[in-house]
Amino acid sequence: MSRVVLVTGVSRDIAARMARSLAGIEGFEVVGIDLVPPTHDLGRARFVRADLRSPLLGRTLAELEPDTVVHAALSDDLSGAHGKELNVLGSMRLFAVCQPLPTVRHVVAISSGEVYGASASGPTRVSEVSDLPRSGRSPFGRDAAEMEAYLKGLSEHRPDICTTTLRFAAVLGAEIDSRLGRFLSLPVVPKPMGFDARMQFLHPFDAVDACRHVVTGSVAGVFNVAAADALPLTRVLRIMGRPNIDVARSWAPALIEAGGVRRAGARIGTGELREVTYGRVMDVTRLEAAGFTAHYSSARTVEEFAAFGTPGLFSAANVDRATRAIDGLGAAVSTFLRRRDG
Amino acid sequence: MADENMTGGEGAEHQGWAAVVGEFLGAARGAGRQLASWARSSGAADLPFMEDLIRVAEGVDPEEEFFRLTRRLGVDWDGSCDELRDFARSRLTGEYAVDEFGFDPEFTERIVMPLLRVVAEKWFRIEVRGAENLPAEGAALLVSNHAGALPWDALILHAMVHRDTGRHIRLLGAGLVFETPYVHDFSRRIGATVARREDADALLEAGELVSVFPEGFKGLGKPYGERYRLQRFGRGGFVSTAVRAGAPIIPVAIVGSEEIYPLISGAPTLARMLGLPYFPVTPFFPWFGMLGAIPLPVKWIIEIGEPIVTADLPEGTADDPMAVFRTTDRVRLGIQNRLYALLEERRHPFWG
Repeated sequence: MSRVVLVTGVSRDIAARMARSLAGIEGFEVVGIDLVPPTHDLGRARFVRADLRSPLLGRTLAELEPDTVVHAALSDDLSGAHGKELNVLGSMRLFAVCQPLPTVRHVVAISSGEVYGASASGPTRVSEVSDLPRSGRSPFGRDAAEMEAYLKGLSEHRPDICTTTLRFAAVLGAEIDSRLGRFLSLPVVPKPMGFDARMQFLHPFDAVDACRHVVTGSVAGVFNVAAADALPLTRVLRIMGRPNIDVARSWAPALIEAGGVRRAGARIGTGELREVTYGRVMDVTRLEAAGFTAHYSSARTVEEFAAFGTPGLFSAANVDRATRAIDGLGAAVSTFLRRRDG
Repeated sequence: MADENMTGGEGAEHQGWAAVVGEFLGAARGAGRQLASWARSSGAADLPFMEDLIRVAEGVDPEEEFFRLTRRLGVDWDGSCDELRDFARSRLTGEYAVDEFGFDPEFTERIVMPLLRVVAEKWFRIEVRGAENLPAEGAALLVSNHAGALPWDALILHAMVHRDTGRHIRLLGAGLVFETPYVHDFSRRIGATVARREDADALLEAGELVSVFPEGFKGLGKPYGERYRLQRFGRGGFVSTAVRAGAPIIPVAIVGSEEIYPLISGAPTLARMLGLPYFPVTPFFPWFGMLGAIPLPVKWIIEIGEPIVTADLPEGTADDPMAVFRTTDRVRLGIQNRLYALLEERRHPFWG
């Protein structure tokens, strides 16, 4: 009998990739569920339309008899009350439904590094044992933390279920539509004045691989998932070829609202602003000890993302022009000095 | 003078202005010469750069003086332009690397270290003793006195250790440093990080030279009258950190930093309003604006003491408050004694 793996949120790219990858494994039968049909190819995985918040979810799951549930439906793209309802209430219902199901043996939740929040005086590298802050998180970080709390509740009621929480760093990839990706792709990026956040990324390939690793190996626990290195926001922007405009932190939200950045689809509230002000680097040694190491570095992830996007103002050709100008200046100064001296 | 060449219809109007400008320039030059002759007679020409500054003030040939000054500072125009080009290129394309703490070695070595070296060697005429006590490799915790309103001592110590050993110092700074715009960026780029247990442990584990100033803001904000009198050394967290990592503690005594800004008052009310630990009021700041923020050219001595080995302390020392206090007091007393000895040796704060 094959092992039934349920993947939630498959209308989003990253969950679809996970479903496709898991479906390729011998003996796995993968079912993807979501409210809207996926636009991405699910490969050998089957799609079942289901609403995580609906009372009918219990019957759907009971019929599917899943062995493993991968909850990848959390989205940072939903804002306000609607997003909270989908993220938090959806997770709550899903885990509640899993609790009485005898077939369920493993639940994997895809969370986010944003649960740690971002601050100036926090540790440089946050590890899984670090305390989660009470305030100062982005709305998505708060949703993710609540989701983690529900998963913890599930593992307390059903100690026989193996539970895994994967805290992903920002996933940046060519076909991944993310808030941060759109922010970094703006023609001129508004950067908090006087702060250069340390950014850490996760390549979609590694995100999918990490999920596959914990599902096939039944690895339990809370793990940070990220590339080991970090790079400052200004360097990210230079790789992207984007100039930045520094804005005072207290004015940033108002300016961003007024400047139409919202229309470009890069929503930034105070919580998100902290993310791009201070940044965050996660410690990944625990996951490495569990046998998984990210293949792509953060820098490589950004380079790839930049290569697939539209080139910015600081493109290679423009930089060449600028460096030639500096060379010209050097030549002028030395000619002048030579003429003076003799 | 230029006004002699003015002829024609518009001349009359221009002549009025030119006369004013000429008069002003003449007065400025006169004052410059006056200052220069006064500086010469008072013997200030022996101070670093004074000779050059006096020549500029005398105003014989400002352009010539400018290039003379750059030559004295060792500016190589051709080489600098090449370096500027490479540096600009790496910055514009993002072809540089920082570590997870945000340390940017290229920026630190190309820009910050050369500038600090000039300040340390020419302005503070620094003397470094005991550089041989710095390990060529492996972790160590440098513990030093802290004073002078702005953390010049931390920066200068970094520059001097880099000059003598080629190693970078990773500073541990207070939280406020990292909450302040630009200061946050600069500190992270030169390798500083938040003084937290996790960060200190990670750096020592990686075999870095870590420096800590246990007096913190209490040291920086102490009035001039209390100079060279060490403040409380925190809770001794640095000792447990070093013991946990098995890294030696290297005491450092810095003489000079405590006189660069003679602090009259910490203006506690104003400081509270601004959310600062103190607001430096000196005979020159804030009265003279940014000019008042130029540190006085005090003669500096940095003495790097013999390492205190922590690796062979009995197990559990890091969690034993009495043992931690004993070691903290030992380090503090050692630095205090060296400060007094160096002060006796240095007869004059400016001439040494």
